[in-house]
Amino acid sequence: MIILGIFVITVLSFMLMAMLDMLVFQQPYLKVFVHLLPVYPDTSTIFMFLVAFAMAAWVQYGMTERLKKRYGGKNSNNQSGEKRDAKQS
Amino acid sequence: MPSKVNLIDTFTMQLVFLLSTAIIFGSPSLVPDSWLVGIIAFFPACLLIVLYCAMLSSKEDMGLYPLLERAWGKVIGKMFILVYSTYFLYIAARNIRDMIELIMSILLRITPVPMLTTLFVFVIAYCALGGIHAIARFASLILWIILFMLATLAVLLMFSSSIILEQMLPFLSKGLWPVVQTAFKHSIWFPYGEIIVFLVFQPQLGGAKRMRKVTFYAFVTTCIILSATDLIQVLTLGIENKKFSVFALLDAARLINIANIITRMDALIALIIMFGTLLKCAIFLYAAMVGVSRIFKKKPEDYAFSLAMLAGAFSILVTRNSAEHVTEGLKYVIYTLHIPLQLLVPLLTLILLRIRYRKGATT
Repeated sequence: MIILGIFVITVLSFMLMAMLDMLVFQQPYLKVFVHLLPVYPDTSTIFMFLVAFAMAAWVQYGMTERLKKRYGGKNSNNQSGEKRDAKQS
Repeated sequence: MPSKVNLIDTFTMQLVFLLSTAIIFGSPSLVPDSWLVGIIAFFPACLLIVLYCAMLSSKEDMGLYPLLERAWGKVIGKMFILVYSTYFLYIAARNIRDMIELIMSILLRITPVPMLTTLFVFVIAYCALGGIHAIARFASLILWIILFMLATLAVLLMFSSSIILEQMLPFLSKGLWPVVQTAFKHSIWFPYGEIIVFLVFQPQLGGAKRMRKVTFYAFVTTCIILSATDLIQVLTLGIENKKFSVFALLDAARLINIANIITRMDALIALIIMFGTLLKCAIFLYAAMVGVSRIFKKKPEDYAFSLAMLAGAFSILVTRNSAEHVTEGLKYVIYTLHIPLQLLVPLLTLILLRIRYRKGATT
């Protein structure tokens, strides 16, 4: 649902910006909409959109929890904490 | 029942929110006496407080989104929530663009825009991740920085003999009517009308009773500070130069020169806009996060970084150049977005709420 939410907001925002551009440039809606879309030479904006969706997917599929579970981040932290406590005592 | 934000924190948050970008651009220089526009716009802007408070008090101080659902029904209400979320994200994108334009013109001239934007939106997302309580505490910290910098600016301009009282003449050369017109066409909606975003957080901010008082004081203080900074801009740059200056306060700061030692104080202005924009965008982003999470049934925090990144990308795409950005903001955004979403939809919502939930009605 997070990816869907981001997708819906992206489409709505593009439509909103195209509407304003249509008023500013006095051009057909479809034309300004296509002009707005980030295409090949504008790679930086494409990457930004990709990163936004990648982050949405990361949260959607709980990647942090999965990686923690797989590599046991929590346990190793506790162990190091225990070691530190042992050293201090 | 969510815990409430401190009264002073709410006030400072609203004050910084109202000042942040407005202080840099000042009142639009469409009339010679632009510093009067802010004062005149204050009075009709207070009617917006009345409208918003009436809306809140008609249904137990719910936030904007539940109110929309109650008034318009589930389907149309959800559509309005999406529209408002998009609107808040769009305004956040415009504010990021404002800041990037300014930073590019004075500080980081050759740094790539996407790089700057990405770093900035991550800070905004981190700020919004803390929720409205964290943003409010952050606001009370940066308000003092902003006020101190503005006071320093005024004092330094005075000592560098840049303030010339004759610059504000001729006073009201075209009469009072154009000033009133500009106030109604522009200054009510930006910055005062943008206060609608705080309706989203009313359960945490204390509801209609508190909003009436706090927002009124925030409006009064904003009116005084904005008019003072507008006046400083006119007194230092002159009416004609201010008219053609994009960042008038920045140009005024450039005039500071005390014995050729204290010069180039425009970095102060850059800091003001960076802090102000950070807070304003965090508030808009959080409002958008709450809206999207209400529709798609997840925690608002889950959307923080993705929506912030989208806002950053939109800030690059939103306009092609600075001139288009200003024209769009002054003309088209006001009529197509601000007036409908800050006045018409809340007014219709209030009417619907009063009809549907009038005393004795069972709907």
